[in-house]
Amino acid sequence: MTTSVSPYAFTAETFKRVQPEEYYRKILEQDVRPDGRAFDACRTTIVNAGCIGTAEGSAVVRIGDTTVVCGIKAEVAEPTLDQPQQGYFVPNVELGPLCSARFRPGPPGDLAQLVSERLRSLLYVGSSKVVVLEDLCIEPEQAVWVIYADLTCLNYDGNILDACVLALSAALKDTRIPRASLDVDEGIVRADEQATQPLTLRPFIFAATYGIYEGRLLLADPNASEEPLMASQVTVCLMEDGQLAALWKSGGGLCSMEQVQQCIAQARKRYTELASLVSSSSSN
Amino acid sequence: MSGSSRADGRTATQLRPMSASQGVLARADGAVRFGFGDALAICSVNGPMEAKLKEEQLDRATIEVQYRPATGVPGVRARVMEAAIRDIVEASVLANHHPRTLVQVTVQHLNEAGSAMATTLNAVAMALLNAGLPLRSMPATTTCAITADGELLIDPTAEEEAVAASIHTMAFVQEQHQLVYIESTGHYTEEQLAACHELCRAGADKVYAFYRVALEKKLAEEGFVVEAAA
Amino acid sequence: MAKIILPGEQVDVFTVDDTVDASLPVCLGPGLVQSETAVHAIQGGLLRSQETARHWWIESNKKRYVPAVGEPVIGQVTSRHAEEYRVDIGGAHTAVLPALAFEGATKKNRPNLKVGALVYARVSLADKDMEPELECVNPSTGRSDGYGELTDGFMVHCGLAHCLRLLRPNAAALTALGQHIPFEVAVGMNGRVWIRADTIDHTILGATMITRSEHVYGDMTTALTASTELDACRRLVKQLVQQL
Repeated sequence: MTTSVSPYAFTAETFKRVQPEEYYRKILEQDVRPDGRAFDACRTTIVNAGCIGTAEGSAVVRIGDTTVVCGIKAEVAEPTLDQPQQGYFVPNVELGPLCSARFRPGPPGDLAQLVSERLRSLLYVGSSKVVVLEDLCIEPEQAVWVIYADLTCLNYDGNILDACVLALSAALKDTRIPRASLDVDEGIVRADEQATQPLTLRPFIFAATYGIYEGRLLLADPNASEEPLMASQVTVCLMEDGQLAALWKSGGGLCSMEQVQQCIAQARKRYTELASLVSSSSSN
Repeated sequence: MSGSSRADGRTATQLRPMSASQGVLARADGAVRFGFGDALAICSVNGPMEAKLKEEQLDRATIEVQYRPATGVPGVRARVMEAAIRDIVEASVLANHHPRTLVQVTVQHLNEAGSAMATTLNAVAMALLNAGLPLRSMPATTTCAITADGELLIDPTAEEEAVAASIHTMAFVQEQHQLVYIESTGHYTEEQLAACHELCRAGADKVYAFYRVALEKKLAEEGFVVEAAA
Repeated sequence: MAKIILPGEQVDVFTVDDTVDASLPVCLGPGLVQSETAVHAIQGGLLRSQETARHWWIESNKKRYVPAVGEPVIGQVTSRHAEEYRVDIGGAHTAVLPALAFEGATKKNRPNLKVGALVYARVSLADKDMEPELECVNPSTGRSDGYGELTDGFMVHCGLAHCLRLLRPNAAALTALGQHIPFEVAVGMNGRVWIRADTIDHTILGATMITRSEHVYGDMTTALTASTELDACRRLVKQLVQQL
């Protein structure tokens, strides 16, 4: 840019590539993050529900540059032997080479499987199930609805878990399944495509992730370039009633219970933001 | 805290008896079978050993983790376990002491009877110690469940987990009781989380005390003259 | 004095009483590291100290060898090169043994080790970022000091702490064995022990004795002292001789 720069000095871009940790530290010293956000600020979040006409429910979510599409499909299946009155719910996350060069084609990688399992545990463990599984029953022991939630990442820029939880919540809210009944004589299920009904949903769950930098700074909603610099990450999943649905702390770093509590406090503010986004996004 | 006894006769704050067999695999550098009562997992650790050229890292040891459940093929739950094991290993092993090498951690669950994650992570910590790798700390993990009635039960059995409203697993290092890992799912309030934290921390202290007793026993068997614990 | 210590625990090495010369520098041995102001253990084991000399270290047992300068090791030649041999010493990386690091070796007259041969050598260079190097000669005197190729005989593996014990003068297991058979032994600190006796039967007896004596401590009912240790080893040898 200017001629006075010594040929041995790095430009900011080179510095970032050569010494990412030092670059990040230097910027944080100025109480700001490289993308201009404050420590507790999340990236711009957009929710657009009902964008896929062929699915029972759908949503597109963007958190900064991270983009996730969620499609909900309902199919009829036999219930499991131990839960004859319950339908089931199968979340699946896909992180393909489409969204980032870090992912390889082929079967789901470790991160995709981890996020899928986290979503599943949100829906199954304890009494916090988002979908009331008993309502998915068409005929006990005979036929139930299976809800497939397929989440595909279109662009990966970190914090995939928050984006997936948000997309799933918005898509479930948008979902309408046909009224169905079992024709006992013919042994088939008849569904009325015209008469659809929404799913019975428990309070919404939203997730907020915080990176802990050098064991002292809490950084909300870390992006892909920040994630590898965070020794630990805390994800807080909150419900409408103010209770927690899940809390995960991962990464090899250490953190204190006070920091976890700070994360929960910040997540509460984020919850209100996300809830209003989802309620204003859906058309029905 | 209520002192009511549970199906197996324990109180709410009582862990199942811990067991550990150290050096159980002759060919591994470190191997430990750890158990909370019937819940058993075996962990083997090899390393620092030669890493494949493409896996080598110039400034630290590469860590390879594999988890196998007691029954069936490893599924998505195994990935979560592997991620947790990796967190524990990263938090404790001083990987920069052995650059360009490989540390291999393999866990086989032997019997899943509740508190699977805590059983696994404690087996891993003990196996790392058994292998003699340079460690920053010894993380100790316990699980606690909250029943539908709001009662807190430490080290739940599989039956207690099945009907629990929420399940909380926390790993601590001794230094200032910092947290290494939390997995906390279900439906619970912030106050309940804080209560679980207290209970898990007290449990982790007991696990840590067990580590010391187990090490003392091993050293005595190996002919080191050990002073009676003060 | 000794006590059990786990990794991450602090060791107070700086507080001294009147019997210790406080001006002496503190010397930390295996298993201890200094971070900023405190000293921490990075290994589990027995904390030992020689307080008058201000030496501190941790004693423990493990199976995987990490090379350290000056330690005798037993290696196996894995490949031959123009100027050096590659030797497996059980560590993370293979070690380099220069062809000239032998007693009296010159460019013209160098030892001829085959792939698979066993060598008893001293670690001459060990750094975490570099490949370890070995030598079979004392560089200051030019003598072999007992290092070199090990022919015939038999090699067994054992824990690193057991090797250290066998290296002590009057090691109980070797003393007890010596009362029954004549033998030669080479003890590597990398968990390998080589033994050669007058007959093959005796070599096998000796090798069994070395592996079995590692576990003699677990069965002991009396307090461990030098004499009870020797008695236990004597009983074990007698038992093995009878089985022969």
